[in-house]
Amino acid sequence: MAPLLEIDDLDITYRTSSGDLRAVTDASISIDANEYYGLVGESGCGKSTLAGAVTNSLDQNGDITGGTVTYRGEEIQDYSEEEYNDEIRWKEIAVIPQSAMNSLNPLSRISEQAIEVAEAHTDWSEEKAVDKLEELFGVVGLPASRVHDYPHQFSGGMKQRAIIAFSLLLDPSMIIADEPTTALDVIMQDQFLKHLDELREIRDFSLLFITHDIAVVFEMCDSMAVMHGGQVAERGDTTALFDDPHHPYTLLLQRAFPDIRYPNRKLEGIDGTPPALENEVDYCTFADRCPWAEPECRERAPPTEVVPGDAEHASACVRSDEVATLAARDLEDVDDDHGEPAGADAGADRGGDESILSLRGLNKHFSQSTNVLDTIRASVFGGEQDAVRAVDGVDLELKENQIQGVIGESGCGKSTLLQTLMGKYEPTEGEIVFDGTPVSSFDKADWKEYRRRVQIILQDPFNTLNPHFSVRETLLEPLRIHDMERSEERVLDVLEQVRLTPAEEYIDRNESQLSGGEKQRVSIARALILEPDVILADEPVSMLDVSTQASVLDMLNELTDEYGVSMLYISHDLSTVSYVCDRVNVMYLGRLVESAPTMDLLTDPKHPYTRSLLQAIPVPDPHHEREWAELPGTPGDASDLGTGCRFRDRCPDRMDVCERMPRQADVGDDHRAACHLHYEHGSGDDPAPTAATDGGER
Amino acid sequence: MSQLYYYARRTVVSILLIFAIATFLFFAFRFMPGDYATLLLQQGASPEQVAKVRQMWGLDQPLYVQYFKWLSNMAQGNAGMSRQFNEPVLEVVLPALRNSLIVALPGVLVAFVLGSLYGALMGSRPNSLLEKYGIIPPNIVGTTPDFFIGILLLTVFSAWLGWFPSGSIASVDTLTSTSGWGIYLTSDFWYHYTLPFLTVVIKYMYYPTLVMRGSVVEVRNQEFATYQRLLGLGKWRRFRHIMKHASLPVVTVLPAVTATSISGLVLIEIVFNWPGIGQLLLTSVFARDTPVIQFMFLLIAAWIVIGNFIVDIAYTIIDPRITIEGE
Repeated sequence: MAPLLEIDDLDITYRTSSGDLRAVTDASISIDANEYYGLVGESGCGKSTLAGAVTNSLDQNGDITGGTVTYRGEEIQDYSEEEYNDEIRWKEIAVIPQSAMNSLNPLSRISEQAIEVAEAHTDWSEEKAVDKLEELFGVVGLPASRVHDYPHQFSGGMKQRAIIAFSLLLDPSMIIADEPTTALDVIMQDQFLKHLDELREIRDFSLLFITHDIAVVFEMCDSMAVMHGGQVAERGDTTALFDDPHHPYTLLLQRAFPDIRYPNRKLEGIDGTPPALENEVDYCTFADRCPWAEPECRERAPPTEVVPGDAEHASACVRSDEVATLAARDLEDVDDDHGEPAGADAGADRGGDESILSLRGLNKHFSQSTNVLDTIRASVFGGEQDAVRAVDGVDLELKENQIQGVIGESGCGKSTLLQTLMGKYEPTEGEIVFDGTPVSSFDKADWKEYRRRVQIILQDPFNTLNPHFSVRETLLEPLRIHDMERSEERVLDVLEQVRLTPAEEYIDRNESQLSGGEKQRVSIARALILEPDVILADEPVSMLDVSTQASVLDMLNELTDEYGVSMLYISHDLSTVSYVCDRVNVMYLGRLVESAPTMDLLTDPKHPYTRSLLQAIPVPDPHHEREWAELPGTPGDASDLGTGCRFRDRCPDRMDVCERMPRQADVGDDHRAACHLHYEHGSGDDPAPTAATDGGER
Repeated sequence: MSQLYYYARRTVVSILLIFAIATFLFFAFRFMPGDYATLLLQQGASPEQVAKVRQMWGLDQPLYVQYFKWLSNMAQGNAGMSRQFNEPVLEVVLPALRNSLIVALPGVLVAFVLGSLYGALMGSRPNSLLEKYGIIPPNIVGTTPDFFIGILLLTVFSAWLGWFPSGSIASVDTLTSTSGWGIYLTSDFWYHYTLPFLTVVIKYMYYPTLVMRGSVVEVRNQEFATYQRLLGLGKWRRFRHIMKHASLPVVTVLPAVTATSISGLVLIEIVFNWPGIGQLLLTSVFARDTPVIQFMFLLIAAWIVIGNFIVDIAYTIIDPRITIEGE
C-alpha cells in the first residue's frame, strides 16, 4: 500500500538579506495511513519548516527548492494557497498548533469559530458545523453543552481538548502537531498525550508529531525520524531506533535525555551547536559535533542507506554500521576514566550539618482586591477572605553545600517562594533565617550583603543578559555594585568555572554572539562571581536544548561539589530535578506536600500527588508501558481553598478525613509527607473529622 | 454582583467626579488674578463703578457664599451670566457648542474610522512598500499645526480653485433667513462645512493610524491569528478578526482625542471664521469672561468622564473576556 504522505528529497531554502539559508536538505520521510509518526530534533533543525511544506504555511521567504511532497499519490508541493485550501487544508490535513492555550480567537464563541472553518472549506450549514463540534466535544471528553462558550471560559486543559476537537472537525486523514506539549507542564502534557493516544481507538487518522522531546516520541509514535541541521539523520520504526540506532546523533540524543527510572545515570551533552546552513549543504551537518567524525563526513552529504534487514530503517551516516560498536567502546572509556557515576549521588546527601537558609512557616499571601473600600473593610473586620495564598506555611532547611529541589505544576507558588527569598516580597508570616540571622532583622547593609551571598539564576537566558554589554561588562558589573575587586583575572577564572573555555575567547563577546547554552553559562557566571553561599535557580535549563541541558546540569552539580555552594532549584520537571538535587520538595498550591531525599522520593513516593507527578513523566523507552497519571482537572483556585487538604478534589485516594488539613508527618528516614494516608489519627493534635462532606464537587 | 450595581456605582462615581472638577474649577478661577472687574478698571472705569459691578455680580461676598450660590444655580441649570454678552451663559455657549460639535464629532469619528483602516492596512502588510513608506504622510500631517492645514486647504480649494467658500458657517442670506437648527438643513451650510470638516478629518487621522498600525502588528503575531491562517480562513475574514482585536487601544483614546480636538478647534475655527466654541473660548479668555470659560471647561471635563464610561462599556461589547462585575 502506498504511504499516505511521502516526502522525497525535499529541499527548503529561506531567502534572507544575508544570503540563502538551507533549512531542509534532501529530507525524505513517509507516513502510512493511521500511523503515528514522530519528528525529533533540536531547535533550528528544520522540523517545523518541513511541516510547513506539508501544510502550505512556509514563511513568505521560504521556498521549496527541490524534491516532492506527495499526498495520496498527488504532488502537492507546488500547490498555490487557493488550491491547497480547496483540496487539502483541514479536510485532509489538519494542524494542532504549538500553543493550544492561545490559539482560539478570544473574541468569538467556539461554535462560531467552528462555523467559520466549515464555511471556509465545505458547504455545510451552520447547524451541521455546530452538531459536528458537539459530537467531537463528546469524543474528546468535553460537555457538548459548552460549544457556545468563549475560549476564556475554558481551563487550559479544556482548551487543548477543544483544539484537538477542532483538528478533527472535517474528518482529516492526517493531523500535524507542532510541538503541542512544549509549553505545558508535565501533568498537562500527560493529559494531552493521553487524549491523543485514546483517540486512535475511535478515529482513523495519521499523526505527524513534531517535538524536541524524544521521550514523548518513544511513547507515542510507531515510527520516527531524527533531524539534524536540516537533514534527516535517521528514520525508521521507533523501537528499531531505540534498540539499534545507526546514527550517532540518535544515540547521543538518547544519552542526553534524562530518564526518571535512572536518576543516577550520567547524562551526556552533545558538544557544539547545529551549524548555520548557508548555501549548498554538501556535508554531514553533524560532523562538527560528532565524536566519531572522519574527514569523509565533511566532504559530501552522507547518503541515506537502508539498514540491512529492515527496509523501513535508514540512516544517513557513513559509519552507520559501526555506531553500535563505537558507542559501546566509548562507554567503556568513560567508565575506565571516571569510575564513579555522576549526577546526585543517591545515598550520600552532599549537604553538611549547618543550615544556610531555613524557612519557618513561611507565608506569602496576595490580596486580590485593588479596591480601596474592600481593603478598608478587610482591615476593619479582619480576615483576608479572598487573599491568594501563594505560599502557605512552608518549612524548609537548606544545608550548606546541598542542592534542594522544589517542584510543582505551574501556579503552585514555587516562583513566589523564590521571589520572597530574593526579598522581592515581604513574607506575610513566618521567617526566613539566613546563616543564623532572621532576614526580618536585616538593616540596609545586611540586605546588601544578603544580596551578594544569595544569587539567582533565571529561567530565560535569552532575556536576562543586557544586549549592550560584553561578557566582561556583564561580569564586572556585580563586582562594582558590591565594591569588590574588579580584576580581569577574576572574570577569566569564573568563565573557566562555568566551562566557557578558552575564557579569553568569550570575554569580549556580546550577548548576540552566544548560543542559548552559553548565555545561561554567563548568567551562572554572573551569579558565581560574587562567591555566593546560596544560588536560587529558577528552571535554569528549561529553555535549553536537551543537548546543552545535560552539560549545564552537570556543571551545576560540579560547582556544588567544588565550591561548596548551596542551591535551591525550582522546576516543574522532576527528571532534571532528580538529576541534580540531593533532596526534593513537592509543592502543591502553596504547601509542601512531601519532602524527601531524592532517591527515596523516586522509589517510594508517599503523597498521591507525588505519585501522579512521577507517573506523568514520559519515559524515553518504547518498550516501557507507562500508565497515564490519574490526575483529573487542574489545581484549584489559590484564593478559595477551603480548610481541607488542597489536593483532595483531584486525589485518587480521597477519604472523609481529607476535609481537614493534614499535618506534615514523618513517613520514613528524613522523609516527610502531608497526607492523611500516612499517619495515625486520633491523637490529640488531630481530632477526628466532623461529618463527611464528600462528593459534590467531582 | 450584578451589572446593574456596577453601572449604578459607576454613575455615582462619575457624578461625584464631575462635581469635584466643577468645585476645583470654581476655586481655581476665583484665585486667578484679574477678574472681569479689574479689566473694567483697566479700561478706565472708576473704582466706584467697579465696586458697583462687583456688587451686582456678587463678587464682594465671601467665597463660600459665592460657591454655594453658584452650586445652587448650577443645580437649577443656571450657569450664570456671561460678562461680555450680558446674556445667560447657556444661551451663549450652547449655539457655539452645537456649531463646533457638528464639525468635531463627525470629523473625529470619520478620522478614526479612516485612520484605523489605513493603519490596519499598513500593519497587515509586513515588508511591503505601504508598510515602509505609508507612515510618512500621516506623520507629516500629524505634526503640521492644524491651522496650517486649514490655511492650505483654503488656499487650494477656495483661493485657487474657488470650489468652496473661504469662511463662516453660511452666507449672509442663509443666516438671515433661517434660525436655530434650521440652518443645518440648508445646502449652503454644508457647502461651507466641507473645508473645516476636512481639516479636522486630516488632522485627527494621524493618531488612530499610528495606534492601529502598531496594534495590528502586535495582534497579527498572536497565536490565534497564526492558527486562523492554518485553519485556512479567508483573508478578509482574518483581517476583520484582527481589526476587532486591534481596535481596543484605538477606542481607548477616542474620548481623549475628541476632547483635545476642542482645543484644536480654537485655531481651525479662527481660520474658517466658524462661530463655534473655539472662537468663543478665545474671546472669552480675552474678555475675562469667567462664567463662560468655567462652564466650557466643565463641559470638556464632563465629556472625558462620560466618554471613558462609554469606552468601558464598549470594551465589554468588543471583548467578552472583559466582564463587568461589582466587587
